[in-house]
Amino acid sequence: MNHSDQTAREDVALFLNACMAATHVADALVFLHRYVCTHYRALYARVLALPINDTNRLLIVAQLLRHGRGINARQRALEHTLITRTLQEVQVNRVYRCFYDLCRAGVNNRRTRAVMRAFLLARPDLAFHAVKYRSKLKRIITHNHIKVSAEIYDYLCRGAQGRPRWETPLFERVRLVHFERAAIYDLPLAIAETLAAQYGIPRRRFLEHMKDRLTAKEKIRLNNSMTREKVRHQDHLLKAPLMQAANAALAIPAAERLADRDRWESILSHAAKRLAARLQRRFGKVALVIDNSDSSFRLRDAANRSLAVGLSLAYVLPHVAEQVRLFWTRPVSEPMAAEPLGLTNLAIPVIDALQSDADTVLIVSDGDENVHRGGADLAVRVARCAAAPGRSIQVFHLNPTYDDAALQPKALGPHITTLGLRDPRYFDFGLECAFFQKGRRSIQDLIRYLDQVAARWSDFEQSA
Amino acid sequence: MKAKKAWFDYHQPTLQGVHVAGSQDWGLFRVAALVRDQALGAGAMVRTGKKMTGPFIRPHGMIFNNDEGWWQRLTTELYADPCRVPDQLVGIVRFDDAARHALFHSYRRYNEEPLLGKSQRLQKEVTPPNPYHRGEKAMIQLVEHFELVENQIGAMLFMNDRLYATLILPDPVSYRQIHPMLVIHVFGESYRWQGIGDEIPEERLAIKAEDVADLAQLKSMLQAEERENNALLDLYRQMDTADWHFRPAQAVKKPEGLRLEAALFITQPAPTEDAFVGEWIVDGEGNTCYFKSTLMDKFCRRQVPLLTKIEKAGWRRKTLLQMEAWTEADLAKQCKLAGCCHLLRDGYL
Repeated sequence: MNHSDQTAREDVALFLNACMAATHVADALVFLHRYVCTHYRALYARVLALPINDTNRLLIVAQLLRHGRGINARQRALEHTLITRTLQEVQVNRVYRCFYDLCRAGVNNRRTRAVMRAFLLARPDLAFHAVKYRSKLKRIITHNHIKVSAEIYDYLCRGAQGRPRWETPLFERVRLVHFERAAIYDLPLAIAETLAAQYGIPRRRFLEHMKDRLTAKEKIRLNNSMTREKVRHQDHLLKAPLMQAANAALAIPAAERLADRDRWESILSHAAKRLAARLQRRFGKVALVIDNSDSSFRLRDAANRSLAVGLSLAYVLPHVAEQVRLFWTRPVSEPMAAEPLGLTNLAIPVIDALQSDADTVLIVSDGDENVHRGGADLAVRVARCAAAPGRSIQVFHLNPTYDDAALQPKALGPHITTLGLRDPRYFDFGLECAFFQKGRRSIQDLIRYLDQVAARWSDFEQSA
Repeated sequence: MKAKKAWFDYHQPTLQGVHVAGSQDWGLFRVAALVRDQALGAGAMVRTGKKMTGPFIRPHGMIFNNDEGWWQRLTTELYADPCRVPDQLVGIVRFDDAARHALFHSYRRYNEEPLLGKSQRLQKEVTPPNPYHRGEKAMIQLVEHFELVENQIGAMLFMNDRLYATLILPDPVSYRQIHPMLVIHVFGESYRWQGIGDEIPEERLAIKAEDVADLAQLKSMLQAEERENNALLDLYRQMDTADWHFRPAQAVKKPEGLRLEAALFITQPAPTEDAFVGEWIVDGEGNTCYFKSTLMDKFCRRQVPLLTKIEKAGWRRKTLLQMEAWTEADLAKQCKLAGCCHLLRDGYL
């Protein structure tokens, strides 16, 4: 492999890791996007089709829209398809944020205007968005001269201005809230929640009235809150994705969790089964090392994330592996009793994992090893030197936290492959990136893999 | 005649029931966590049946306080304005000349160091981020790095394997509140200037890969290293208490009707310490009734009676009169002996 190939491999691996782990838009991350967009544009656009997080998907969209000059028609068509589909999949509040930032940055090319106009005019509930994202929508509409209905334009840009009533029912209900508090409960939760806090409506009363009007995601999000406020409700967490269920479980003290063990076991097991059915990769014997130290909870950028990923994998791996053994930095009797406390002593559990007969060792940690610095890496190095001929152990470090300064998740050492993983849903793709990072796949292989993943979009195939 | 024991001889802080629960390092810094299985009771810090909570130990002094809200107030201040740290925390660690020397050279290295980057191309093109933000990020990393241990009530703070301070709080909740700011203001300021917290290069790691034959041997070596950390507490126990510069106050007469008791506790600098003066007066009930810290250098070492300073500071509260009544003779003398010249902070009266 020559020097340029090596550089390209490093750059792409760095970028893919960032796309899975980074959720905070820092200068360094923006730079990384700009860099990859400039040097690897074909690959950069294709990454939109991958299961990466929304922050990075929208950063890619923004970069493609900002720097669209000088590309050929085929690439442009491909990018347009990818951008359009991405905007449909990503949460709408994040799309508005992305558009708003583009407007603030003065991006006003024809392509950007067309994308924004198409997105807005395709919204069936633009009035709802006008209420919920009023300032952003106003900026987008005025910046791009997008024509919307007269009433929405008035609502956004002129206000009531002597108008006795609105024709749009949602606008009218918002107006009525100022005269009648009960009208709050007719509004969607996103708007009603703010107004309820503004008018001092007790949380319990508010949830009692709103519980039948919630969307599926809102029900999951407010499940713990309703339990805490003693509002009678169904257990919506049973339908929650695994990562969300794990986060909800860790949000309450371990003692409470253990007191209600059956319920939490059922929630996590159901979610794990659903996720396992979607994962394609299967494993043999796996040793999972989970960092349940204090920092697995206390990290500001990713509170609780490391432990939640570990807990999720502890539930999902038994469905996709022949045998799973768990090792904790601070031993616990069962995964349900996991609580973040103590120092990060990774070396000892990693040694235990390597001494087991596992062929794959997965380490879930924030990478801050502070008892035996470099101990885990040393253990892997020693294990590889002392391993019996013909036995190979794959060791992966799954780190959900992203280090802005280093432009990648914090690594445990040069002998352990680190990949950013914030959600076990991306486990398959993450491992594919790890193989690429380790040099087992070439860039052409990766692009082929990207095309395979992206093939789920039929029009992507057509345009490509 | 039997020699009268000094106040501090009776009330030397014992570490009974406290043990070290592992240590964490960050470059040259090391923090050994002190844990106590039971909350601090009357046994460890007691003065004739009066419960004292919130013992605060440092090379230059000690503050006792039995005010329940004292730590809450302190931490509130810290969180409200981390830049203006109360003197109680600023003075925990005082670097000696050797440490300053190390800091200075590390600072130079920090400035000359290239920015981290994965590929050569990245190194060329990344513009260095704002140093302020880099510093803030480092602070966050530092706090995240030094993790809390279950039932942790204190910490022993080392730099370059030299013990600088020991902090013990009454209960884990209090320590948890103070921990982030403790780390930031004790180590953070140094980190901000330098590269002390950089990764330790492999050649400096205690265990070399070449010395290890297999995993079992590595495990036993790591466990032995862990056991060595517990010897840190013995290091503390072996220290001569004279190093901590405690000195009992001289008894003063108590005027009629005065709330304060006669027994006072004043800390003074040792003769060898000419750069720092700290002084606390604690009344018989354990309340800090006067506190000041003074930074001295060769240009401002003058003997100024304390009361003169107090008058200049316009301290007109009623309690001042009370204080004047009983400190006029003895306290001024103490102050002269200490060579204090700046009144930086008055205490709680």
